[in-house]
Amino acid sequence: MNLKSVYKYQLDNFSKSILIYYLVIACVFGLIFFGIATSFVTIKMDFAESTNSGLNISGFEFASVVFLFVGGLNMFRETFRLSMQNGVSRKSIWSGTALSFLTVGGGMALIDTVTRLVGVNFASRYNVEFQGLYDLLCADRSAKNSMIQNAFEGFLLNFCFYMAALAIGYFITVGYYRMNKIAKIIVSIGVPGFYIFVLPFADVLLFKGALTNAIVKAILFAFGGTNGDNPYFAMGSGLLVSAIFLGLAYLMVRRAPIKD
Amino acid sequence: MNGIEVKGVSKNFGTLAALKEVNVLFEENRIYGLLGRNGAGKSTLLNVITGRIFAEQGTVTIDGEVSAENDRALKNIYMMSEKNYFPEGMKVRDAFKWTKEFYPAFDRAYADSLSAKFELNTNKKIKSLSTGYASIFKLITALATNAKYILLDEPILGLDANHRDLFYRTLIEKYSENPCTIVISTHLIEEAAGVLDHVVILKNGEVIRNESKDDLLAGSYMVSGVAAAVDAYYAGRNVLGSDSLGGLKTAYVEGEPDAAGMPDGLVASRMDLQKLFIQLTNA
Repeated sequence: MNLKSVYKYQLDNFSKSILIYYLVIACVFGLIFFGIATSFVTIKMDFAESTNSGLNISGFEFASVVFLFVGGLNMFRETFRLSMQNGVSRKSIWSGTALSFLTVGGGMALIDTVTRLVGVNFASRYNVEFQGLYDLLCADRSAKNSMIQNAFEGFLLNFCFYMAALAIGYFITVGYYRMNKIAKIIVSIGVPGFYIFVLPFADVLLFKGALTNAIVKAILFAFGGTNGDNPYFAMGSGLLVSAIFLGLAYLMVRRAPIKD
Repeated sequence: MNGIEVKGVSKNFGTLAALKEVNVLFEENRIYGLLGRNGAGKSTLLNVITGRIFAEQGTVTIDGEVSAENDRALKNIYMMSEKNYFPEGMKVRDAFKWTKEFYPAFDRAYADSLSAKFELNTNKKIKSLSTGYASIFKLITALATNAKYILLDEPILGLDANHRDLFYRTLIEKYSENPCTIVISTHLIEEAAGVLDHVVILKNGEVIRNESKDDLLAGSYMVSGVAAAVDAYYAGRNVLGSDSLGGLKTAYVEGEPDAAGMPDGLVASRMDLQKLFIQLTNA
Protein backbone atom coordinates (compact mmCIF):
# COMPACT_ATOMS: atom_id res chain seq x y z
CA MET A 1 0.00 0.00 0.00
CA ASN A 2 2.69 2.49 1.00
CA LEU A 3 4.90 1.41 -1.89
CA LYS A 4 2.01 2.15 -4.27
CA SER A 5 1.49 5.56 -2.66
CA VAL A 6 5.16 6.49 -3.01
CA TYR A 7 5.09 5.27 -6.61
CA LYS A 8 2.03 7.39 -7.37
CA TYR A 9 3.58 10.43 -5.69
CA GLN A 10 6.83 10.10 -7.60
CA LEU A 11 5.00 9.76 -10.91
CA ASP A 12 2.77 12.72 -10.09
CA ASN A 13 5.86 14.69 -9.11
CA PHE A 14 7.57 13.87 -12.39
CA SER A 15 4.59 14.19 -14.73
CA LYS A 16 4.52 17.99 -14.99
CA SER A 17 8.20 18.31 -15.83
CA ILE A 18 7.94 15.48 -18.38
CA LEU A 19 5.00 17.24 -20.02
CA ILE A 20 6.93 20.53 -20.21
CA TYR A 21 10.01 18.72 -21.51
CA TYR A 22 8.08 17.09 -24.36
CA LEU A 23 6.30 20.33 -25.16
CA VAL A 24 9.73 21.93 -25.62
CA ILE A 25 10.94 18.97 -27.70
CA ALA A 26 7.75 19.09 -29.80
CA CYS A 27 8.21 22.83 -30.37
CA VAL A 28 11.86 22.39 -31.39
CA PHE A 29 11.09 19.53 -33.79
CA GLY A 30 7.98 21.33 -35.02
CA LEU A 31 10.06 24.37 -35.91
CA ILE A 32 12.79 22.25 -37.55
CA PHE A 33 10.34 20.21 -39.61
CA PHE A 34 8.32 23.27 -40.52
CA GLY A 35 11.51 24.90 -41.72
CA ILE A 36 12.51 21.82 -43.69
CA ALA A 37 9.04 21.31 -45.21
CA THR A 38 8.72 24.92 -46.32
CA SER A 39 12.43 25.30 -47.18
CA PHE A 40 11.93 28.58 -45.38
CA VAL A 41 14.62 28.15 -42.75
CA THR A 42 18.18 27.00 -42.98
CA ILE A 43 18.79 25.36 -39.67
CA LYS A 44 22.15 25.33 -38.04
CA MET A 45 22.04 24.11 -34.46
CA ASP A 46 24.28 22.09 -32.17
CA PHE A 47 22.52 18.88 -33.03
CA ALA A 48 21.74 19.69 -36.64
CA GLU A 49 24.62 20.14 -38.99
CA SER A 50 24.80 20.60 -42.72
CA THR A 51 25.80 17.60 -44.80
CA ASN A 52 26.20 17.10 -48.51
CA SER A 53 22.73 15.70 -48.81
CA GLY A 54 21.06 18.27 -46.60
CA LEU A 55 20.59 18.11 -42.83
CA ASN A 56 21.56 15.55 -40.27
CA ILE A 57 19.57 15.54 -37.01
CA SER A 58 20.96 13.06 -34.55
CA GLY A 59 20.98 11.81 -31.00
CA PHE A 60 18.06 13.83 -29.66
CA GLU A 61 17.70 11.22 -26.90
CA PHE A 62 20.78 12.73 -25.23
CA ALA A 63 18.45 15.54 -24.17
CA SER A 64 16.25 12.93 -22.47
CA VAL A 65 19.30 11.40 -20.75
CA VAL A 66 20.26 14.83 -19.35
CA PHE A 67 16.65 15.56 -18.40
CA LEU A 68 16.34 12.27 -16.53
CA PHE A 69 19.67 12.73 -14.79
CA VAL A 70 18.44 16.09 -13.47
CA GLY A 71 15.11 14.44 -12.66
CA GLY A 72 16.91 11.76 -10.64
CA LEU A 73 18.67 14.51 -8.72
CA ASN A 74 15.29 15.88 -7.66
CA MET A 75 13.59 12.65 -6.68
CA PHE A 76 14.75 12.15 -3.12
CA ARG A 77 14.61 14.90 -0.51
CA GLU A 78 11.01 16.03 -0.95
CA THR A 79 9.62 12.52 -1.30
CA PHE A 80 11.67 11.25 1.62
CA ARG A 81 10.37 13.97 3.96
CA LEU A 82 6.76 13.53 2.79
CA SER A 83 7.03 9.77 3.18
CA MET A 84 8.56 10.03 6.64
CA GLN A 85 5.71 12.35 7.60
CA ASN A 86 3.27 9.73 6.41
CA GLY A 87 4.69 6.64 8.08
CA VAL A 88 6.41 5.02 5.12
CA SER A 89 9.41 2.76 5.63
CA ARG A 90 12.63 3.58 3.81
CA LYS A 91 12.41 0.25 1.99
CA SER A 92 9.07 1.30 0.51
CA ILE A 93 10.41 4.75 -0.37
CA TRP A 94 13.27 3.19 -2.31
CA SER A 95 11.10 0.50 -3.92
CA GLY A 96 8.40 2.98 -4.93
CA THR A 97 11.04 5.27 -6.41
CA ALA A 98 12.75 2.43 -8.30
CA LEU A 99 9.37 1.36 -9.73
CA SER A 100 8.64 4.93 -10.78
CA PHE A 101 12.04 5.01 -12.52
CA LEU A 102 11.09 1.89 -14.48
CA THR A 103 7.83 3.52 -15.52
CA VAL A 104 9.33 6.91 -16.38
CA GLY A 105 12.34 5.37 -18.13
CA GLY A 106 10.14 2.94 -20.06
CA GLY A 107 7.55 5.58 -20.94
CA MET A 108 10.09 8.09 -22.17
CA ALA A 109 12.00 5.41 -24.08
CA LEU A 110 8.74 4.52 -25.82
CA ILE A 111 7.91 8.15 -26.63
CA ASP A 112 11.44 8.74 -27.95
CA THR A 113 11.32 5.54 -30.03
CA VAL A 114 8.08 6.69 -31.62
CA THR A 115 9.57 10.17 -32.10
CA ARG A 116 12.53 8.59 -33.86
CA LEU A 117 10.26 6.54 -36.13
CA VAL A 118 8.18 9.59 -37.03
CA GLY A 119 11.32 11.68 -37.46
CA VAL A 120 13.05 9.13 -39.72
CA ASN A 121 9.91 8.73 -41.81
CA PHE A 122 9.32 12.45 -42.16
CA ALA A 123 12.95 13.41 -42.69
CA SER A 124 13.50 10.80 -45.42
CA ARG A 125 10.96 12.62 -47.62
CA TYR A 126 13.08 15.75 -47.57
CA ASN A 127 16.52 14.26 -48.00
CA VAL A 128 17.31 14.81 -44.32
CA GLU A 129 19.05 12.25 -42.15
CA PHE A 130 17.34 11.70 -38.80
CA GLN A 131 19.23 9.49 -36.37
CA GLY A 132 18.41 8.34 -32.92
CA LEU A 133 20.88 7.26 -30.23
CA TYR A 134 20.60 3.70 -31.50
CA ASP A 135 21.48 4.72 -35.08
CA LEU A 136 24.57 6.54 -33.82
CA LEU A 137 25.84 3.65 -31.70
CA CYS A 138 24.97 0.88 -34.17
CA ALA A 139 25.11 2.58 -37.57
CA ASP A 140 25.78 -0.57 -39.67
CA ARG A 141 23.32 -2.72 -37.76
CA SER A 142 20.66 -0.02 -38.03
CA ALA A 143 21.12 0.14 -41.81
CA LYS A 144 20.74 -3.65 -42.16
CA ASN A 145 17.90 -4.27 -39.66
CA SER A 146 14.20 -4.01 -40.28
CA MET A 147 12.36 -0.98 -38.97
CA ILE A 148 10.69 -3.05 -36.24
CA GLN A 149 13.96 -4.53 -35.07
CA ASN A 150 15.54 -1.08 -34.99
CA ALA A 151 12.60 0.28 -33.04
CA PHE A 152 12.72 -2.61 -30.58
CA GLU A 153 16.47 -2.43 -29.99
CA GLY A 154 16.35 1.38 -29.95
CA PHE A 155 13.66 1.27 -27.29
CA LEU A 156 15.68 -1.13 -25.12
CA LEU A 157 18.83 0.94 -25.56
CA ASN A 158 17.05 4.17 -24.64
CA PHE A 159 15.41 2.50 -21.65
CA CYS A 160 18.74 1.21 -20.30
CA PHE A 161 20.42 4.60 -20.71
CA TYR A 162 17.48 6.41 -19.14
CA MET A 163 17.49 4.06 -16.17
CA ALA A 164 21.21 4.66 -15.73
CA ALA A 165 20.72 8.46 -15.87
CA LEU A 166 17.93 8.31 -13.26
CA ALA A 167 19.91 5.97 -11.01
CA ILE A 168 23.08 8.09 -11.12
CA GLY A 169 21.10 11.27 -10.39
CA TYR A 170 19.28 9.56 -7.51
CA PHE A 171 22.52 8.16 -6.09
CA ILE A 172 24.16 11.59 -6.12
CA THR A 173 21.25 13.32 -4.42
CA VAL A 174 20.92 10.61 -1.74
CA GLY A 175 24.69 10.76 -1.23
CA TYR A 176 24.60 14.51 -0.71
CA TYR A 177 21.67 14.14 1.67
CA ARG A 178 23.61 11.71 3.83
CA MET A 179 26.81 13.77 3.90
CA ASN A 180 27.62 16.40 6.48
CA LYS A 181 28.72 19.88 5.40
CA ILE A 182 32.43 19.09 5.34
CA ALA A 183 31.94 15.93 3.28
CA LYS A 184 29.75 17.88 0.83
CA ILE A 185 32.49 20.46 0.34
CA ILE A 186 35.17 17.80 -0.07
CA VAL A 187 33.14 15.87 -2.64
CA SER A 188 31.95 18.99 -4.49
CA ILE A 189 35.51 20.23 -4.91
CA GLY A 190 37.37 16.94 -4.86
CA VAL A 191 35.53 14.99 -7.56
CA PRO A 192 35.61 17.68 -10.29
CA GLY A 193 39.16 18.59 -9.21
CA PHE A 194 40.25 14.99 -9.60
CA TYR A 195 38.88 14.70 -13.14
CA ILE A 196 39.95 18.16 -14.31
CA PHE A 197 43.40 18.42 -12.72
CA VAL A 198 44.67 15.25 -11.03
CA LEU A 199 43.70 12.71 -13.67
CA PRO A 200 45.08 14.59 -16.74
CA PHE A 201 48.32 15.55 -14.96
CA ALA A 202 48.81 12.06 -13.56
CA ASP A 203 48.13 10.61 -17.00
CA VAL A 204 50.63 12.85 -18.76
CA LEU A 205 53.35 12.81 -16.09
CA LEU A 206 53.11 9.28 -14.73
CA PHE A 207 51.36 7.10 -17.31
CA LYS A 208 52.34 8.77 -20.59
CA GLY A 209 48.72 8.80 -21.79
CA ALA A 210 48.03 5.15 -20.98
CA LEU A 211 45.36 6.08 -18.48
CA THR A 212 43.32 8.04 -21.02
CA ASN A 213 43.68 5.19 -23.51
CA ALA A 214 42.46 2.71 -20.91
CA ILE A 215 39.47 4.91 -20.04
CA VAL A 216 38.54 5.36 -23.69
CA LYS A 217 38.85 1.61 -24.26
CA ALA A 218 36.67 0.90 -21.22
CA ILE A 219 34.01 3.34 -22.44
CA LEU A 220 34.13 1.87 -25.93
CA PHE A 221 33.80 -1.61 -24.48
CA ALA A 222 30.89 -0.56 -22.28
CA PHE A 223 29.09 0.98 -25.25
CA GLY A 224 29.76 -2.02 -27.46
CA GLY A 225 32.18 -0.15 -29.71
CA THR A 226 34.76 -2.92 -29.52
CA ASN A 227 32.21 -5.63 -30.27
CA GLY A 228 31.07 -4.66 -33.71
CA ASP A 229 27.80 -2.81 -33.46
CA ASN A 230 26.31 -4.93 -30.70
CA PRO A 231 23.75 -2.77 -28.84
CA TYR A 232 23.29 -5.40 -26.14
CA PHE A 233 26.68 -4.51 -24.68
CA ALA A 234 25.54 -0.92 -24.18
CA MET A 235 22.20 -2.11 -22.83
CA GLY A 236 23.97 -4.40 -20.37
CA SER A 237 26.26 -1.59 -19.29
CA GLY A 238 23.27 0.71 -18.78
CA LEU A 239 21.46 -1.89 -16.70
CA LEU A 240 24.59 -2.69 -14.71
CA VAL A 241 25.16 1.00 -13.94
CA SER A 242 21.47 1.34 -12.96
CA ALA A 243 21.67 -1.68 -10.66
CA ILE A 244 24.93 -0.54 -9.04
CA PHE A 245 23.80 3.03 -8.40
CA LEU A 246 20.29 2.08 -7.27
CA GLY A 247 21.86 -0.54 -4.99
CA LEU A 248 24.26 1.99 -3.51
CA ALA A 249 21.41 4.46 -3.11
CA TYR A 250 19.43 1.80 -1.21
CA LEU A 251 22.33 1.27 1.20
CA MET A 252 22.26 4.99 1.94
CA VAL A 253 18.46 5.37 2.06
CA ARG A 254 17.89 2.49 4.49
CA ARG A 255 19.63 4.31 7.35
CA ALA A 256 18.82 7.89 6.34
CA PRO A 257 17.51 10.00 9.20
CA ILE A 258 15.10 12.84 8.66
CA LYS A 259 16.91 16.17 8.65
CA ASP A 260 15.48 19.56 9.51
CA MET B 1 0.65 -5.98 23.96
CA ASN B 2 -1.40 -3.13 22.54
CA GLY B 3 -0.03 0.37 22.72
CA ILE B 4 3.32 1.92 21.91
CA GLU B 5 5.99 0.25 23.98
CA VAL B 6 9.43 1.86 24.18
CA LYS B 7 11.99 -0.53 25.65
CA GLY B 8 15.50 0.50 26.67
CA VAL B 9 15.84 3.15 23.96
CA SER B 10 19.04 5.20 23.90
CA LYS B 11 19.95 7.84 21.37
CA ASN B 12 23.08 9.95 21.15
CA PHE B 13 23.86 13.00 19.06
CA GLY B 14 27.64 13.06 19.01
CA THR B 15 28.65 13.13 22.65
CA LEU B 16 25.21 14.23 23.84
CA ALA B 17 23.02 11.45 25.22
CA ALA B 18 19.56 12.59 24.15
CA LEU B 19 17.80 9.48 25.46
CA LYS B 20 19.15 7.13 28.11
CA GLU B 21 17.56 3.69 28.21
CA VAL B 22 14.04 5.06 28.08
CA ASN B 23 11.22 2.69 28.96
CA VAL B 24 7.66 3.88 28.55
CA LEU B 25 4.30 2.47 27.49
CA PHE B 26 1.70 4.62 25.79
CA GLU B 27 -1.49 2.68 26.31
CA GLU B 28 -4.53 2.64 24.06
CA ASN B 29 -7.17 5.36 24.19
CA ARG B 30 -5.47 7.76 26.56
CA ILE B 31 -4.31 11.33 26.23
CA TYR B 32 -0.70 11.66 27.33
CA GLY B 33 1.31 14.73 28.10
CA LEU B 34 4.96 14.27 27.20
CA LEU B 35 6.64 16.97 29.21
CA GLY B 36 10.22 18.08 29.56
CA ARG B 37 12.39 21.15 29.38
CA ASN B 38 14.12 22.19 26.16
CA GLY B 39 16.55 19.46 25.16
CA ALA B 40 15.02 16.89 27.51
CA GLY B 41 14.54 14.46 24.61
CA LYS B 42 10.80 14.77 23.87
CA SER B 43 11.06 15.29 20.11
CA THR B 44 13.87 12.75 19.90
CA LEU B 45 11.68 10.15 21.59
CA LEU B 46 8.78 10.88 19.24
CA ASN B 47 11.10 10.74 16.23
CA VAL B 48 12.47 7.37 17.35
CA ILE B 49 8.94 6.01 17.88
CA THR B 50 7.93 7.01 14.34
CA GLY B 51 11.16 5.69 12.83
CA ARG B 52 12.31 9.07 11.56
CA ILE B 53 15.60 8.61 13.33
CA PHE B 54 17.28 5.47 14.56
CA ALA B 55 18.05 4.67 18.20
CA GLU B 56 21.46 3.29 19.11
CA GLN B 57 19.80 0.66 21.25
CA GLY B 58 16.39 -0.50 22.34
CA THR B 59 13.17 -1.26 20.50
CA VAL B 60 9.83 0.35 19.87
CA THR B 61 6.79 -1.82 19.29
CA ILE B 62 3.36 -0.70 18.13
CA ASP B 63 0.63 -3.16 19.11
CA GLY B 64 3.34 -5.77 19.57
CA GLU B 65 5.06 -5.24 16.22
CA VAL B 66 8.51 -3.72 16.00
CA SER B 67 7.94 -0.32 14.37
CA ALA B 68 11.35 0.25 12.77
CA GLU B 69 10.97 0.03 8.98
CA ASN B 70 7.62 -1.70 9.35
CA ASP B 71 4.93 -0.18 7.13
CA ARG B 72 2.15 -2.17 8.80
CA ALA B 73 3.07 -0.91 12.26
CA LEU B 74 3.80 2.65 11.11
CA LYS B 75 0.43 3.10 9.41
CA ASN B 76 -1.17 3.06 12.89
CA ILE B 77 0.76 6.11 13.95
CA TYR B 78 0.80 9.73 12.79
CA MET B 79 3.12 12.38 14.12
CA MET B 80 2.63 16.09 13.75
CA SER B 81 6.07 17.66 14.00
CA GLU B 82 7.15 21.15 14.84
CA LYS B 83 8.74 21.24 11.36
CA ASN B 84 6.77 20.92 8.17
CA TYR B 85 7.73 17.89 6.09
CA PHE B 86 5.24 18.45 3.29
CA PRO B 87 6.67 20.10 0.16
CA GLU B 88 6.63 23.84 0.73
CA GLY B 89 5.05 24.54 -2.64
CA MET B 90 2.19 22.11 -2.04
CA LYS B 91 -1.30 23.49 -1.47
CA VAL B 92 -3.10 22.59 1.76
CA ARG B 93 -5.85 20.76 -0.13
CA ASP B 94 -3.23 18.73 -2.02
CA ALA B 95 -1.56 17.87 1.26
CA PHE B 96 -4.93 16.52 2.43
CA LYS B 97 -5.23 14.55 -0.82
CA TRP B 98 -1.81 12.97 -0.41
CA THR B 99 -2.33 12.24 3.27
CA LYS B 100 -5.48 10.32 2.28
CA GLU B 101 -3.32 8.38 -0.17
CA PHE B 102 -1.01 7.28 2.66
CA TYR B 103 -3.69 7.03 5.39
CA PRO B 104 -6.83 5.66 3.71
CA ALA B 105 -8.86 6.36 6.88
CA PHE B 106 -8.12 10.09 6.50
CA ASP B 107 -11.47 11.88 6.76
CA ARG B 108 -11.46 14.59 4.11
CA ALA B 109 -14.86 15.93 5.09
CA TYR B 110 -13.71 16.28 8.70
CA ALA B 111 -10.50 17.99 7.55
CA ASP B 112 -12.54 20.42 5.46
CA SER B 113 -14.93 21.13 8.30
CA LEU B 114 -12.04 21.78 10.69
CA SER B 115 -10.40 24.02 8.07
CA ALA B 116 -13.60 26.07 7.95
CA LYS B 117 -13.77 26.18 11.75
CA PHE B 118 -10.17 27.38 12.03
CA GLU B 119 -10.54 29.60 8.94
CA LEU B 120 -7.69 27.82 7.17
CA ASN B 121 -7.66 28.58 3.44
CA THR B 122 -7.04 25.20 1.81
CA ASN B 123 -6.14 26.83 -1.52
CA LYS B 124 -3.05 28.39 0.02
CA LYS B 125 0.40 26.97 -0.42
CA ILE B 126 1.95 25.63 2.77
CA LYS B 127 4.91 27.99 2.51
CA SER B 128 2.59 30.99 2.53
CA LEU B 129 0.96 30.03 5.84
CA SER B 130 1.86 31.97 8.98
CA THR B 131 3.42 30.06 11.89
CA GLY B 132 0.03 29.74 13.54
CA TYR B 133 -1.77 28.59 10.43
CA ALA B 134 1.05 26.18 9.59
CA SER B 135 0.41 24.60 13.02
CA ILE B 136 -3.33 24.57 12.35
CA PHE B 137 -2.76 22.85 8.99
CA LYS B 138 -0.60 20.18 10.61
CA LEU B 139 -3.06 19.72 13.48
CA ILE B 140 -6.03 19.29 11.17
CA THR B 141 -4.09 16.80 9.07
CA ALA B 142 -3.11 14.82 12.17
CA LEU B 143 -6.59 14.72 13.66
CA ALA B 144 -8.23 13.77 10.35
CA THR B 145 -5.94 10.78 9.72
CA ASN B 146 -7.91 8.71 12.23
CA ALA B 147 -4.67 6.98 13.11
CA LYS B 148 -4.79 4.83 16.23
CA TYR B 149 -1.89 6.75 17.76
CA ILE B 150 -1.51 10.48 17.16
CA LEU B 151 1.65 12.20 18.35
CA LEU B 152 1.56 15.99 18.52
CA ASP B 153 4.89 17.74 18.95
CA GLU B 154 4.32 21.36 19.98
CA PRO B 155 0.83 21.41 18.47
CA ILE B 156 -0.07 24.93 19.56
CA LEU B 157 3.06 26.69 18.37
CA GLY B 158 2.07 30.16 17.17
CA LEU B 159 -1.65 29.69 17.80
CA ASP B 160 -3.52 32.63 19.31
CA ALA B 161 -5.60 32.15 22.48
CA ASN B 162 -8.84 31.67 20.53
CA HIS B 163 -7.35 29.02 18.28
CA ARG B 164 -5.72 27.27 21.23
CA ASP B 165 -9.08 27.12 22.97
CA LEU B 166 -10.70 25.82 19.80
CA PHE B 167 -7.95 23.22 19.46
CA TYR B 168 -8.46 21.86 22.98
CA ARG B 169 -12.22 21.67 22.44
CA THR B 170 -11.75 19.98 19.07
CA LEU B 171 -9.33 17.48 20.61
CA ILE B 172 -11.76 16.54 23.36
CA GLU B 173 -14.61 16.25 20.86
CA LYS B 174 -12.53 14.04 18.59
CA TYR B 175 -11.38 11.90 21.51
CA SER B 176 -14.87 11.40 22.89
CA GLU B 177 -16.34 10.52 19.50
CA ASN B 178 -13.47 8.42 18.24
CA PRO B 179 -11.13 7.38 21.08
CA CYS B 180 -7.46 7.01 20.21
CA THR B 181 -4.12 7.51 21.89
CA ILE B 182 -2.93 11.09 21.73
CA VAL B 183 0.51 12.12 22.94
CA ILE B 184 0.95 15.87 23.33
CA SER B 185 4.43 17.27 23.75
CA THR B 186 4.15 20.87 24.86
CA HIS B 187 5.67 23.60 26.96
CA LEU B 188 2.29 25.21 27.66
CA ILE B 189 1.61 22.81 30.51
CA GLU B 190 -0.97 24.83 32.37
CA GLU B 191 -3.19 25.05 29.29
CA ALA B 192 -2.77 21.46 28.20
CA ALA B 193 -3.21 20.04 31.70
CA GLY B 194 -7.00 20.13 31.34
CA VAL B 195 -7.01 17.56 28.54
CA LEU B 196 -4.32 15.20 29.83
CA ASP B 197 -5.06 12.06 31.75
CA HIS B 198 -1.55 10.69 31.91
CA VAL B 199 1.81 12.40 32.20
CA VAL B 200 5.31 11.33 31.17
CA ILE B 201 8.07 13.67 32.27
CA LEU B 202 11.51 13.52 30.69
CA LYS B 203 14.60 15.05 32.22
CA ASN B 204 18.00 14.93 30.56
CA GLY B 205 16.93 12.00 28.40
CA GLU B 206 15.44 9.95 31.23
CA VAL B 207 11.85 9.32 32.26
CA ILE B 208 11.45 10.68 35.78
CA ARG B 209 7.67 10.38 36.07
CA ASN B 210 5.16 8.22 34.23
CA GLU B 211 1.77 8.08 35.88
CA SER B 212 -1.76 9.37 35.72
CA LYS B 213 -2.09 13.10 36.14
CA ASP B 214 -4.34 12.69 39.17
CA ASP B 215 -1.92 10.31 40.94
CA LEU B 216 0.97 12.61 40.13
CA LEU B 217 -0.76 15.66 41.55
CA ALA B 218 -2.05 13.75 44.56
CA GLY B 219 1.50 12.77 45.45
CA SER B 220 2.70 16.28 46.28
CA TYR B 221 1.55 19.51 47.80
CA MET B 222 2.84 22.94 48.71
CA VAL B 223 3.15 24.57 52.09
CA SER B 224 3.24 28.34 52.50
CA GLY B 225 3.91 30.55 55.49
CA VAL B 226 6.61 32.37 57.39
CA ALA B 227 10.00 31.14 56.28
CA ALA B 228 11.12 29.85 59.67
CA ALA B 229 7.86 27.90 60.15
CA VAL B 230 8.07 26.40 56.67
CA ASP B 231 11.71 25.39 57.25
CA ALA B 232 10.74 23.74 60.51
CA TYR B 233 7.85 21.96 58.82
CA TYR B 234 9.72 20.40 55.97
CA ALA B 235 12.71 19.20 57.95
CA GLY B 236 12.84 15.45 57.44
CA ARG B 237 10.36 15.49 54.54
CA ASN B 238 11.09 14.98 50.89
CA VAL B 239 11.15 18.52 49.56
CA LEU B 240 11.15 19.11 45.80
CA GLY B 241 12.04 22.79 46.11
CA SER B 242 11.05 26.09 47.58
CA ASP B 243 10.42 29.74 46.69
CA SER B 244 11.01 32.69 48.98
CA LEU B 245 9.52 36.14 48.77
CA GLY B 246 10.43 38.55 51.55
CA GLY B 247 9.88 36.70 54.82
CA LEU B 248 7.42 34.28 53.26
CA LYS B 249 8.28 30.91 51.85
CA THR B 250 6.56 28.20 49.85
CA ALA B 251 7.89 24.66 49.96
CA TYR B 252 6.94 21.96 47.46
CA VAL B 253 6.76 18.67 49.25
CA GLU B 254 6.31 15.10 48.05
CA GLY B 255 3.71 12.97 49.80
CA GLU B 256 0.38 13.86 51.41
CA PRO B 257 -0.26 16.66 53.90
CA ASP B 258 -0.50 15.53 57.53
CA ALA B 259 -3.93 14.16 58.26
CA ALA B 260 -3.88 15.88 61.66
CA GLY B 261 -3.73 19.23 59.95
CA MET B 262 -1.08 21.84 59.42
CA PRO B 263 0.81 23.67 62.16
CA ASP B 264 -0.46 27.17 62.94
CA GLY B 265 0.54 29.77 60.37
CA LEU B 266 1.09 27.30 57.56
CA VAL B 267 -1.25 26.65 54.67
CA ALA B 268 -1.15 23.48 52.56
CA SER B 269 -2.55 23.43 49.05
CA ARG B 270 -2.47 21.23 45.95
CA MET B 271 0.09 21.93 43.30
CA ASP B 272 -0.92 22.39 39.70
CA LEU B 273 0.85 20.40 37.00
CA GLN B 274 3.04 23.27 35.82
CA LYS B 275 4.32 24.04 39.33
CA LEU B 276 5.04 20.40 39.96
CA PHE B 277 6.78 20.09 36.60
CA ILE B 278 8.98 23.10 37.36
CA GLN B 279 9.99 21.66 40.73
CA LEU B 280 10.67 18.21 39.30
CA THR B 281 12.79 19.47 36.44
CA ASN B 282 14.48 22.50 38.03
CA ALA B 283 17.54 20.91 39.53
